[in-house]
Amino acid sequence: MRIFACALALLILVAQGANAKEIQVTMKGMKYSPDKIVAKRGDVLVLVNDDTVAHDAFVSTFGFGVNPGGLKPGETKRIALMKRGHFVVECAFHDTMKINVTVQ
Amino acid sequence: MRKLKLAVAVIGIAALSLTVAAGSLQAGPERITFPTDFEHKFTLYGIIDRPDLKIVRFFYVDRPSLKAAKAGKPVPYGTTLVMADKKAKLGSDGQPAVDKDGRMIAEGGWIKVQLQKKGKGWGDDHPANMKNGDWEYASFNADGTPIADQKYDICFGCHNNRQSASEDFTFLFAPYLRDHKRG
Repeated sequence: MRIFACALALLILVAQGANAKEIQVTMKGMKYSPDKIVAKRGDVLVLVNDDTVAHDAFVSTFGFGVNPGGLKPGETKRIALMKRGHFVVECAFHDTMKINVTVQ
Repeated sequence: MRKLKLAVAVIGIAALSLTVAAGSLQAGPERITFPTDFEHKFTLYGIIDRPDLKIVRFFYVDRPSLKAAKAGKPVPYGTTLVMADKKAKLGSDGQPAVDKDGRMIAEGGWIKVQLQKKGKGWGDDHPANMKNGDWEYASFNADGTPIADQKYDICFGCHNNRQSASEDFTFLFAPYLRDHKRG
């Protein structure tokens, strides 16, 4: 019985990994696009600065805080979504740039 | 009587000059003292993983200021915000290890402690391009000694991007208050 439970848990984990997807976010024109994201646990935000100025993408929401560092034009950073809940990604340099993210 | 008035005036001017001089000398990081034992006396209000720097940043606030701000009052003078860094635990690939929630794992003691403190009139001593309201910044080593060669332009420059009254030159504290205000 125990072996069956472990195998089932492993299968679920593998299935989750197989379904994980990359969600691309662009930063053109001083806007994140998309600015509302509903993702699944295991998905990855791929943040691409295709603007002409430097940007940033940090999460200040308590329990989700991460800052992968600034992004110069042309740079890409990634944030793995491993915790369920809601948080906001924002640019430290431009306070109108925000993404609302829900991880299910 | 005339000599007495003159003496009083001279003493008054001298005292005023000394006060102004002392105030000028104190402008900047020297105004901020290291809050000993902050990790126990203050309240933790945020943790930020920095995979690019391979550190984990912990954010604390002094409790009386947090209480006032949570009650909806403006962030009071004397508020001390702490940003303290620990090294991240690294995996065999040299990259930060993470837990089941994808959070980086801090290890060891503090490696750097940076402070943001608000004092009445402190902003008056800064030029417009180096003014963050009445906030000052100071950086310390883990043992509480000041970091002598620290440049503060980057602190003022970055925090200047959060000028609205609700943000008050803070990146994490304002959203924390928004999400944790008393109902």
